[in-house]
Amino acid sequence: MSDGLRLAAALAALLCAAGCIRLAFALARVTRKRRTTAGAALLVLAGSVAVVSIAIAAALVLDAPVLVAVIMAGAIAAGVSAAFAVPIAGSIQAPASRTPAPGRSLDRASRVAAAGATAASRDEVLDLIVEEARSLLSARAVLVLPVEGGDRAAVEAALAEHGAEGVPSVVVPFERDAGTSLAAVGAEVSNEEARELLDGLAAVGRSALAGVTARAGAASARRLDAVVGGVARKLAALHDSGAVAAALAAELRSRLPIESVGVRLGEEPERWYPAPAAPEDDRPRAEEVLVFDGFALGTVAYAPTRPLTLDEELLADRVVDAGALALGVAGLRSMGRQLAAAQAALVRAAESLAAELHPDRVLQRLAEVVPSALHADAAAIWLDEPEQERLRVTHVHGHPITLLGATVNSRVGAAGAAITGGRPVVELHEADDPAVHRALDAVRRELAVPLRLGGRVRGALVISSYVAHPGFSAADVELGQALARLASLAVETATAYDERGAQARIDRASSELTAELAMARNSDGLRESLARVARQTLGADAARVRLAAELEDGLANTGAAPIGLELLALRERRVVASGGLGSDSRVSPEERRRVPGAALLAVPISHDGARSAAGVVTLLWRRTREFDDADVALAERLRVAAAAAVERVQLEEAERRASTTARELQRVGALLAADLDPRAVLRQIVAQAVSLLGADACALRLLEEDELVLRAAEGAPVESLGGERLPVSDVLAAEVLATSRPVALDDLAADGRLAPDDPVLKAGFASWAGAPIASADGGVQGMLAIFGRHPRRLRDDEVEALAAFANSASVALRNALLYEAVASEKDRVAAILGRVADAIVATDAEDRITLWNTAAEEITQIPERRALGRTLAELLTSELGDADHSAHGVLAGAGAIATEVRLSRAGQELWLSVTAADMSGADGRPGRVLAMRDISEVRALEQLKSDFVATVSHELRTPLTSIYGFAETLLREDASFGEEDRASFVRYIASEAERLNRLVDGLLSAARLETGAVGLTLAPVDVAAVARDVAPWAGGRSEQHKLALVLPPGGALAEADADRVRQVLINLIDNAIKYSPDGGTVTVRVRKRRRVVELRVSDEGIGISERDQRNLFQKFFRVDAAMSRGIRGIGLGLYLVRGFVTAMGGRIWVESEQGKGSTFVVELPASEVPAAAGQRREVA
Amino acid sequence: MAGARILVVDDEPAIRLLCRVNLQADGFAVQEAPDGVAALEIARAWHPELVLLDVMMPGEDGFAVAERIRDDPSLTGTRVMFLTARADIADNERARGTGAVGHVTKPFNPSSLGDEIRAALSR
Repeated sequence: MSDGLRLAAALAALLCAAGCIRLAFALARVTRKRRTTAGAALLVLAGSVAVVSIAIAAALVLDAPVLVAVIMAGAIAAGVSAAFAVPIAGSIQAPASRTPAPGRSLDRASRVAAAGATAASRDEVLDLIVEEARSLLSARAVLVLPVEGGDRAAVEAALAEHGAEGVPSVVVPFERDAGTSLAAVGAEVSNEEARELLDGLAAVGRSALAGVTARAGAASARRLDAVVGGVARKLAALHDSGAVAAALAAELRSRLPIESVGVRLGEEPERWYPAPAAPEDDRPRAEEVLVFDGFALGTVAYAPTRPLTLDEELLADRVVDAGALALGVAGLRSMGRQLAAAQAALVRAAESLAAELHPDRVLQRLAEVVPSALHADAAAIWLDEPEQERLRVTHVHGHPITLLGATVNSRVGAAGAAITGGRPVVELHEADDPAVHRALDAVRRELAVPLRLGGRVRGALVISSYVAHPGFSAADVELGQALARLASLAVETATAYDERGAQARIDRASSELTAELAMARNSDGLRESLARVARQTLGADAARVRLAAELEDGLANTGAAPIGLELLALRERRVVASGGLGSDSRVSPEERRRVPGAALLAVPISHDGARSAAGVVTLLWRRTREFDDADVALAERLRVAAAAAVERVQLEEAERRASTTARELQRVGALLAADLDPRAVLRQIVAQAVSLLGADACALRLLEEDELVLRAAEGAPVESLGGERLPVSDVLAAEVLATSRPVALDDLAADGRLAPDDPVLKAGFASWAGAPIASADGGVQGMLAIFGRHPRRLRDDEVEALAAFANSASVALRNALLYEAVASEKDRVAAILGRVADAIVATDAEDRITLWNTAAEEITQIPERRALGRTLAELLTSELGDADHSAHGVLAGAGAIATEVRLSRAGQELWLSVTAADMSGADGRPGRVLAMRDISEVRALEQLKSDFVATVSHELRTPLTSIYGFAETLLREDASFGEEDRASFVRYIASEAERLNRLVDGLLSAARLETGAVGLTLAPVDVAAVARDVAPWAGGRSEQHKLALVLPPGGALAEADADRVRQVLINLIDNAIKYSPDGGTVTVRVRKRRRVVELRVSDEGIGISERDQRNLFQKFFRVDAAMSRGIRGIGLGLYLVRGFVTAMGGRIWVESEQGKGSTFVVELPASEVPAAAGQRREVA
Repeated sequence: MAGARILVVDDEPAIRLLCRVNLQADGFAVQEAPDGVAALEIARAWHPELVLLDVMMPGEDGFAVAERIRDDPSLTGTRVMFLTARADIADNERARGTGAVGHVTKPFNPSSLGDEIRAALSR
């Protein structure tokens, strides 16, 4: 809101306040006359309205929003005051009801004041005032007359217009500006009073109208601000003056009632915007100058369709101001653009210089941009070469290319002068002046600016023009210098960048290198990645990688052999570079032919400070080249990365090899250990050594006195391996034997130890390694040697493997030999045990049988397989009749014992003589070993003897008892016996004596048979006759038995001793009777056959078991007592019978079946001569 | 004691005769048996005070016969005296187990046999 408006509003407020004060005084006068108290109240009200009005005025002076707030506050204050005043007034006016109550008029006044404070329009205020006045004055009408109050005639005329001529009326001036007056027609109060009240109301009305006007002004000011602000923003957004002018014209036309409008900009008199819009001259037109910062930028001319209101003029002014401002800004902008364009060349030159990241390129770019920036034709960079005291043209632009690379003396020309003086030099040349270089002949003027690089003058920028004019201005010189300085900076930046970049590239390449190499798992893989990565990193055409081992080894005379430079790199562990092998004196012509490249970098694979290189990486380029620092730095990185990678891979490989070898050794060791045949072990050793170490042949020799005897060979015929026997002094063996350490010879031919005709060499072997085979006592018992058909350098771990292998081989061999010894010992022991007659039985701590030899099988009839693993106790109980464990108790007891135990086997008594002792078993726990001899037969014989003695004793005593007893009986004196008894006593004495005699005779005969001194008198004997003689005796032997004789009619002559035949027959008949206890017939049959006389004695008795038949003719043999039912005898009868029969050249056997009787058959040689003519022959 | 019944068991007829004539001469009542089976049969029927029993007999030997006499409840009053050619009978456990009252070793003096039997029967 403009200050003017604000002042106007404040003025109105003050007027209102003044009106209120006047009203208050009028009221005070009325009140003084009628009601004192009511008058005071009105006074208060009028005062407060006045205060509010003053406040509004003050607020208007300050600010519009405050104004509104205070107006509201004032209205509220007025309302509040009225509210207090009304009751008071009411209480006062009650007794005076006849006259218009001053309280009511006060009420009206306050309502008018309040309404005035908020009324929106003049009409509203006028209606309020008129109505209030009419009501207050009880007038017929109250009129607002558009005439001054003082002009009576006009008043009368106006009143007449309203039909109030002649009616008493009171007129007071109302609006001074508009020249109106307020007229009350036909008021009921006095004129004086009416005038006073009317004056008061007029004042209130004026105040309210002033408030209305003030508010309207404030709103329009705000609208103006908004409109102008919008226009200003719109115009300011335009960059171009013309656009601003056109937009300004359009804005004016759209916002103001104008017919035409034009904007003319100062520098373009004829140009109007919008064109063609020059207002016509005959039209009323307004012109305003567009002023910016004191400068007239142009004119705005417009033709309004009507006179513009104040507001419109204000708007026009302000829009024009905004337009001027926008034009000014646009002009400045445009100026800036022109300035910028002027600087563009320099900026571009600077930018393009700064854009180059390589020093070389910066200088080249400098030469390129300078001529156009300085409106010249060509430029060149001259660099100082102080050592040679010359300048060299390094970069040219616009000059003949022949200038490039040209050198001139340091001191000549503009360049020389600029470098020497360190400041710009301008030179002009006449057409016939000699130029420093022929390419510069056409140059007419030159500007040389010193170029500072790295803080000192290193050269000059020379700008040349082929025309002499207009010459270089100071600005040109300055620009040239500026560009030169820029170039210096750019060069430095580029150099730094280049260095950083190179460093970054090196770092990156190096980390890639490392990453790539880290992938390699083995030497071959590493070799490949190393070659690839090296080639990529250094941009080489080819790369080859050789590890130290290979270089030392087989490459010697091949095309792949390292050249001197590579060996140099290897030896000195530094990167060796040769940019041109062809001209490098370090490279021999032969090497040149061999190396497929023109430039070479030999990078040793070695750590910093390492004592040796692990190999060399050789990078080759097809063309000669120069190696810069970056190349060398990369090569250095490669050196270290490769060394790390090679070391890692070799370590890994060694570990892998070690674990593989260990596994392999373990496997082979197990294989060897599993084989217990020494010959098989030897075969395994050589076969496994060949496969384990990748050899072509293997020989295992064991020491025998002074020779190494080949015990096993693999892969080649024996003679190829040095023959069956080698002296210990053998060249290859001697060192192994002497040092007890493995020895490896890479190249036998080169080694020179072997004679050229050595069989090993002749067999085509080129490498050899031997390891000692240790003996149990720590000495050497042999040598394991492997042979290779090619020169081969065994790795340390391979040599170790060979040694370890030889070790495990020697252990296996010793084990096998030991086992063989043990096995053969065991076999021997087993053989012995198998052959001894004694049963050898071993038991372990659990009494289980662990040994059961052949004799044990025979003695017990229990096969080994049934005995082993069972406990002795169980075996004795279940199979050998040791039911009460008595035998086991004796045998299994602790300590050494020697005793006899009685067992039984298949129902037969088994007597064993046992020696037993504790013996630790294989598990170290105590077991028993028993040696048992079957003494059943011995025991049986002893029993026989014992029985024989008893029997003989009994047999002797029985007849003796009879003889002695009957003799004593006959001699009894206390008893008398009849004659018959006494005769029988004597007969018994005689027969028992005869029996005794026979018994003794038999015993003697047996004794003679034992000594072979049977006295025989051989003569033809008629066996039938003997049988007939014996028959009566036999018949007397038993009453239960019948004797049957079956004899040949003509007798049967045998060549025999008659007495022995008789004895034989008596014995057989006696036996037949004895062993037929139930009686029966005893048949004696004699037959004459062709060569023999057969005598058979058969009974019907108990028979003889098959087993007893075998022993029947043994001395002292008695058939089983149970079977024989206690039949007695001394066991000599059949023994004697057989003895006699065989002595007579005959034979005897028995045919019998148990329970069915027996038949004894005797064959005696038949006599060829009749008995009568027979001769007796004595047989000793 | 005179008139006691004596059973003589021996497989030898000569020995039986020898014992019988002498014991009868000494006033004993005597019967003879050639083997164990016959001996037991007679003993059970006749209940002799004493059986003079030969040890070595065919079939059952003297010990077996003695055991059967011992074990026969009807023969509790019958004692056994062995007649044997073996001198070691005194040490023979089996003989002792039979509860025999004594033994006579062959050869013996028949005139004193009666006295020995009387002595044994009186123990």
